Amino acid sequence: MLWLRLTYIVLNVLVALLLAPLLHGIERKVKAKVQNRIGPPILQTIYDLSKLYRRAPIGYSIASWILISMSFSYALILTLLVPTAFNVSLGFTSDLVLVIYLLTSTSVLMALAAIAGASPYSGVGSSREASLVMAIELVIAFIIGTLAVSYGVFTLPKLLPIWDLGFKPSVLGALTLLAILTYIEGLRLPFDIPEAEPEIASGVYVDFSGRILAAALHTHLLRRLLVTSLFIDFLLPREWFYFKLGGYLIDLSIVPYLIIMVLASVIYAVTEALFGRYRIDAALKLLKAMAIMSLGVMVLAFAGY
Amino acid sequence: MLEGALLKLIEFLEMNNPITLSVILLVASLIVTPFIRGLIGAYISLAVCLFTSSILTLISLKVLITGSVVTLTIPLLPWAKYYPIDLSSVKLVIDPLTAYFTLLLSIIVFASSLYGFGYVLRFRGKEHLGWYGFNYSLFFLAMFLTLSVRDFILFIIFWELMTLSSQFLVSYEKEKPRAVKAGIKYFCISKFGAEYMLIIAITLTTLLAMTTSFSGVGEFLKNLQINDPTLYYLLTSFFMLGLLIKCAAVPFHNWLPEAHPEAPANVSSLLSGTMIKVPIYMMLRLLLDLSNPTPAWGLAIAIIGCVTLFIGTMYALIQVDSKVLLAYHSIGQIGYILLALGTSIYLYSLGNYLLAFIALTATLYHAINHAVFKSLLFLTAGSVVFRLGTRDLNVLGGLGKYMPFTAVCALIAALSISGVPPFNGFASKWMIYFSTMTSSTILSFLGAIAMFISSVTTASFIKYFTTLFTREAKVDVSKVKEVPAPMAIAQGVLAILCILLGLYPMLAIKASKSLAMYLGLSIPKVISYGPIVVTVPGKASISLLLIATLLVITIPIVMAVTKPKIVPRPWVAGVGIRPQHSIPASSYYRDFELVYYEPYGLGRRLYSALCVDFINWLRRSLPKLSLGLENPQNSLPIYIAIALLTYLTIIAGLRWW
Repeated sequence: MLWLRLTYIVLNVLVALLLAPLLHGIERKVKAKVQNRIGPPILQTIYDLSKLYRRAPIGYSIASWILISMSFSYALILTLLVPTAFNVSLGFTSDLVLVIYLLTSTSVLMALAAIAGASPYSGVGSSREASLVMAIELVIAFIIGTLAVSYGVFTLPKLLPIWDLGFKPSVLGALTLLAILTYIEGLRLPFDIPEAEPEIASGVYVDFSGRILAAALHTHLLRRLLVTSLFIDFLLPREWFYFKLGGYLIDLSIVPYLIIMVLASVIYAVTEALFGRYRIDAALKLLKAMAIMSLGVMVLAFAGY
Repeated sequence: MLEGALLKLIEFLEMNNPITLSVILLVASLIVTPFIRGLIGAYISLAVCLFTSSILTLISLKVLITGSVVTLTIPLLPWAKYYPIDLSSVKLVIDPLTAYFTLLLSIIVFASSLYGFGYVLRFRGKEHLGWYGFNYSLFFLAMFLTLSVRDFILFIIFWELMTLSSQFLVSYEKEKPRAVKAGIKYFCISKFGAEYMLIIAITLTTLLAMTTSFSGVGEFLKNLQINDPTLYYLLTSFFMLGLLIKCAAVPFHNWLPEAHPEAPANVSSLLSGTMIKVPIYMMLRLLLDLSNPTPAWGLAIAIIGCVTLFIGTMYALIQVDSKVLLAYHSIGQIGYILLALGTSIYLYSLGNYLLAFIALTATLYHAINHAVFKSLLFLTAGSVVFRLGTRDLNVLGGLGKYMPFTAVCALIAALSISGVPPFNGFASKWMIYFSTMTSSTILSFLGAIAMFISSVTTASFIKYFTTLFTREAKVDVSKVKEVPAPMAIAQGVLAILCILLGLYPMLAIKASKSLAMYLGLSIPKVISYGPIVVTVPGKASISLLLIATLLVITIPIVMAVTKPKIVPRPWVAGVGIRPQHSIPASSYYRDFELVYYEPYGLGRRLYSALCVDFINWLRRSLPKLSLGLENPQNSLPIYIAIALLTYLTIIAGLRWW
């Protein structure tokens, strides 16, 4: 059975690598439709990335090359830890806090790499990214606190899906906040402040080109996919989709997973079409309000609900 | 006659063990160095410290692994034996608790001394280097003896020596007014805050217990806990007040960010890395060894720790001076250690042995991790000072190109303190989160705040690293060279430790197991498969070795895929990058500071209420005592007056009672 597990793990990584740009393509298409445009083809992001990956890169500094590679590697490792297409993960090290920290690390390394580029725009982009990371982390800390108080467990295979552990109103609140956070963590339109194309010329990405830009964008898209996957994993009862075939356990949960991911992308795209960009302080204020709400949720969990 | 003395010395050394040799060597360097003005004076002391710290590292490792206790007696003043004060000999005991902190101390001293061989060149021809050597050796010796004595009188003597020598080192560069001022402030607060409190506590406790030995006082305190808890809490609160001031817990923290940065870099690393761990050691000794764990102290320490880590790190975020930023982070990280310590005590007293044990491990683990990465950070900041002579993050930059090795070391340390897996900071922080959050007590909230603060640390170190090493500088850095070999090696040693300590959590687990066994606390089943996985069965597990392995495999592949070829000069808006283009350190997180303004507003209000208004009130009330020093906080007489007044009131109150 080990080879089957290994196959699933490899497939997971490959699916995540391809699905991340594909979902972005879907989002672009849906957004175009909402805004009454024709929009690019669904595969456009994959075309963009594959072209960039083939481009002779013009890197500015060795530091940003190394740091972007590190950031991308962290995202790749996360695809091994968070169940995406198939429900396999390196269970013995798949820990909620570890996963959150690895996610944060990708942002941090990206911000470090961007400032290494020396352009003032990338500097501004990085400082905004780091500010958002801090504000988001305050909300996440209380969400993790809620789960920890309710279940006393950090291991992801035990936490996923949440139904097995018994449901509580506070957990519902925490998951609602997490759903909103998946949107914000993806740095979609009202929150694409570190990138802010018209304002600071793509902020964190302004100094990257060729393969390095491709890796940076790919990391960003992978992070979006992983955050959404983590949220879906909390709710999707994957055991319902296991089938026995000649003694082998076949995991068909990829089907509902893909359906939900596409649905989520549609929702994200429609939401994105509704908003203009927030100013950084407005976004931070919103996140502060969310933090107070998540603290409330944690108090609720503490009271036993 | 000389031969006879020599033979006696050898015999003495053989009978005892290398610890005696270390102490003798350190004392010898104390005698020699003040007479040598030149470089040799500092080098003698650094070499002795290098040698003795290696010996002590080995001994403390041996004690931790075997669990055996090393005891030895060094004769001191044979005639000074007045009951209950006995100075005729110094009895040193290296039990697992002492051994762990000695290990931490000697590792950092090793790296700092090695670094010092290069760094003291800065002072050649300017300062009396012998005094540097004298104070450096004395500082190390006093810290080691403070950790290993088992007598309160000797403890307070060595504690005083530790403070005194560190104070001279803080104001070592005597033509810098800032250094002298910081030294005086540090002296005032340590002496008339921390040490007065400790002296009060020790006088009262030893008088009441009729003994000065740790074991006797331990029995007395344990009895007191059952018979007279009020008196117990009164006595321990004096102790704790002194210890909290010394480890710079909020609200007694404001001396640290002034004192630690002014010292020479390798002394800063000793101050932040090891000296503020000595009070932590004493808290462990006092609350877990000499008395039984009480929920009140556990909760109080945890809450103070949480406030400390919050305020310390939030203020670190707004700093623009490299070493001051690091000093504020020292406060923040001490907060983490206090939180873990308080959690451990609280949960032991409640009977939750599993989480209590993890919290105890986290205390020890984070203490050594903080020592290693904070020392490394201070050393890298010192390397920049060594080459450029400035600490202002607003003007520095672009040094990664010219000091690549220092930059890599600083990056490793920055990622470690930020808690990026698989570096060591993450492992200990993870233990803190797990033990606090899943306890389903009030501690869960403190754990959540600690988790948020970890991201603030990260943001702060993005600023620290990029302003020093990557973005465009405002000063000319094109002629800067990499630091000399001893400094580079010292940084490298600590950087490797940052990685190894994360991958091999066994050290901390084993240490806390032998400590728990020594203290008679119950040890739950926390499995650690060698260096592979740390796991609490069925609840949580991490394997940083696995993450590290995966990273080692993937990073080169990704780097090969994204390899850049052409490296042109970048340009912005039609012109090349100018220094003015780079974002100043002070405006990195301006928006964040404006939105999350509460801690800063609170801090300012409290500061003006407590320090400025209160001291001004005192100055008005006691006009003759204040000698017109421009900064009210530096009014030495005020501190003396307050301390004396407190002391007298307490003694009088107790007599009356």
